[in-house]
Order: sequence, then structure tokens, then C-alpha cells
Amino acid sequence: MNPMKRDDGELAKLRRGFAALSEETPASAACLAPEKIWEAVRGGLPSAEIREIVAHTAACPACAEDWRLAMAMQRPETAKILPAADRFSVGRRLRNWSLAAAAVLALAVVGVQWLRLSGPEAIYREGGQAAVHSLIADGQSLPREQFLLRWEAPALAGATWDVEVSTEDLRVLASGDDLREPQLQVPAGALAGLPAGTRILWKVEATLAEGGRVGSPTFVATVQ
Amino acid sequence: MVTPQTQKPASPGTGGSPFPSELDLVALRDDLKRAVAQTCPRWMADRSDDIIQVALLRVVDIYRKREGNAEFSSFYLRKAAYSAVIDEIRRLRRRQEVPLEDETAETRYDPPADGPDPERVATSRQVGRAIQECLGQLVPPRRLAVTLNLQGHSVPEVGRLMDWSTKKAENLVYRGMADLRGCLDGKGVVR
Repeated sequence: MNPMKRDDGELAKLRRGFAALSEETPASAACLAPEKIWEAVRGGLPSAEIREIVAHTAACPACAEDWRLAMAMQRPETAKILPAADRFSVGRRLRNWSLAAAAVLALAVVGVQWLRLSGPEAIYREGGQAAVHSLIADGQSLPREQFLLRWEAPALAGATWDVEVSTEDLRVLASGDDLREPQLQVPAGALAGLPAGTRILWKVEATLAEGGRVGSPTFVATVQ
Repeated sequence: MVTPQTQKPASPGTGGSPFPSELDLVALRDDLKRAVAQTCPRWMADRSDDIIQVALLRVVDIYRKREGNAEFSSFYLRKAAYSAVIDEIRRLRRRQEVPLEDETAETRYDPPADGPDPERVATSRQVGRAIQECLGQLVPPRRLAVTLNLQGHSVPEVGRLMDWSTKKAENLVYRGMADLRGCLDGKGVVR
């Protein structure tokens, strides 16, 4: 029998035991900088460095706990995928209103534009749009229950993804932040009430492992 | 205590509310609460609100120092908040080292009354200590694989983090866990 699978309860007990050590072990001067642990969990460091950090956590319960906290904060469910109305920040809403105004001025130019303020965290690659390809044919009709948007970007390995999905009148239906997988399932509820044939606009933006961002063109899918 | 949700938003650096409207602090606070609740030991449970509050203030401070000019992805915000939470946890842990008999100490180890069964906690710690000893005896690649597995990573994640193929990661986790079990059995640890 496969010992990895033979007893989930046993593995859970081992994990509990490993985690329990942190309760009685204070952080020491040898503990790693939290930023290092965060980046290691994210896979944002050279593998040799990540190995050193993991080796340290094997012997340091306090840093092992820090690792678990970073895991918990980087999990996809923490980087929520929810209908946009439930989760958009004020800033993003303002950005979308700006977009709506710009779209009107542009006389219904198709596409969701993301207006981003320039800053040290926002470094865009020239010509990056060509690096991101939709795996959904342009205008392809998708069932509401399986409205799965997928894309690929072979040149952007290790990137995480922000996605925004909207109607042509720029009503945001769903979004995802910091996704590790290049796909987003739009909840059926977000599409409820839209007539068959409604065109859905979507756009993704990569945050690169080495820093910087790359945006995609606006893609179009249709509600079945 | 200041509660972000109740603050009137103001532009950063204007001298009004310390919480700029551009920051989705409510969502960030929820994320932090969830992560801390999942991860932190029970002695910290009654302090988690304070930890999170300090973290949020740190994030706002970073934001204001940049005068609101920077675009903050939610991922960046979480990283900043994470660092602040860890700093606060480490600070509390250091204070936890204060001797229990020192009545003047500000913070003492004080587990909540409705915590888990003490016997179960003691057993978990015993298992934990044995695991730590056994990990030290594994060959390095297996030690890394098992450590990540015990932390809750899947085999593909282990492969990605260690820059191994999934097959290699699977192999090392498989063999490493077998070694660990053998070592624990040798110590008489009931699994």
C-alpha cells in the first residue's frame, strides 16, 4: 500500500505534532527575516536558497510556523475569487468608474482598460501583451456553469495573475487576484440574468516573479 | 482600539484618517484574521486582534510614506501585513519568555481556559519533538521533502519549490515519509 496515502489521519497527526512544537519554542536571533520566508513560500527565490530556508524550518519551529502563516496567506482562497461586487476596494471601484468614463469618450471602444497609477511596484514590460494568449477562441460561447477562462504565457513562468471580467458596459462580474494557475472560473451566479449571447470581456495581468507586470489584450467570450 | 472599518476614509498624507480610502483594509483584515486563526498557536488567540491591528497600521504607514503614489497589489499588501504579523508574534514570543512567577510582567503565558485537551496537546508536542529529531537523521533531500509535506504542501508544490520534477518529488516524499515512520517507530512514538 502506498504509505503516502494509507492514512490521512496519520499524516494529519504528524502535521499537528510538527506544528505543536512552535507553541513552546520562542523565535530566536537565528530566525529568518519574514520577507525571506514569504518569498520562499512564493517560490520567488533561487531554489538553492529555498532549500536552505526549508532546512532551517525543519529545525526551527518558530520559522516553521512563519512558513505556515505565509502559506495560509498565499493560498488561492485567501486571494479570493468572488463576484466583484462583494470584494472590490474603493480604489478599484474608482478605477472602474474612470474606465467607464473613458469608454464613453472613446465611443464604445471595446475592451476593459485598466488604469494603473505608475509607481515603483508597477513596471510594465514593453510589448508584453503578445506574451499572453487566450486558450478560449475569440467570441467562443461557454456554458454558464462552466465559464472557465484559461490562458497561457509560456514566457512568463512563475507569474501570478490578476483577472477582471466584465460586460461590454463595463459592469464587473468577477475578478481574481494573485492566481497561481492561469485560469479563472466565473461563478454561475455572476452570469445569472445575462441573456444568451452576451459578450463578456476579460483581461489578465501577470505579476512577474522577478518583478514588474505584463497585461494581456482584452479577450471576448460569449454566454451560452 | 482603532477599528479600520469605522474610520472615515481620507487621502494619504492629508492629516485626516490614517486609513487611506485606496486600501481595502477590511478585506486585508479578513485575510489576516483567517490566516492567523488557521496558523497561530492557541496562546495567541486572544491577542490576534491586536496583532492584526498592528499589522494594518504598519501597512498604512508604508502606504503613507509613499504618499499614495504607489500602486499596491493585494499580494504586496499581504506581504507587508505578513511581515508585520510575524514581527508582532516574535515580539510576543520574546515577552512570553518572562518567568511566570514575575507578577510585574506585562504579559505572561496564559492559555485560554477552553483550549484543547491538555493531554492531546502534550502528546502532539511529544510527537513533534520526535519528528524533529528524526528529521535531523534523514538525508538532506528527503528531509526537505518531508518537511514540506509536514507543512502541508502537496507533492507538485514540493517539486516546484525544490526545482524537482514531480516524479522526483513524489519519490523523495514517499521514501522520506517511510524513513520518518521507521524512525518514529524506533522511538516508540504512537502514530
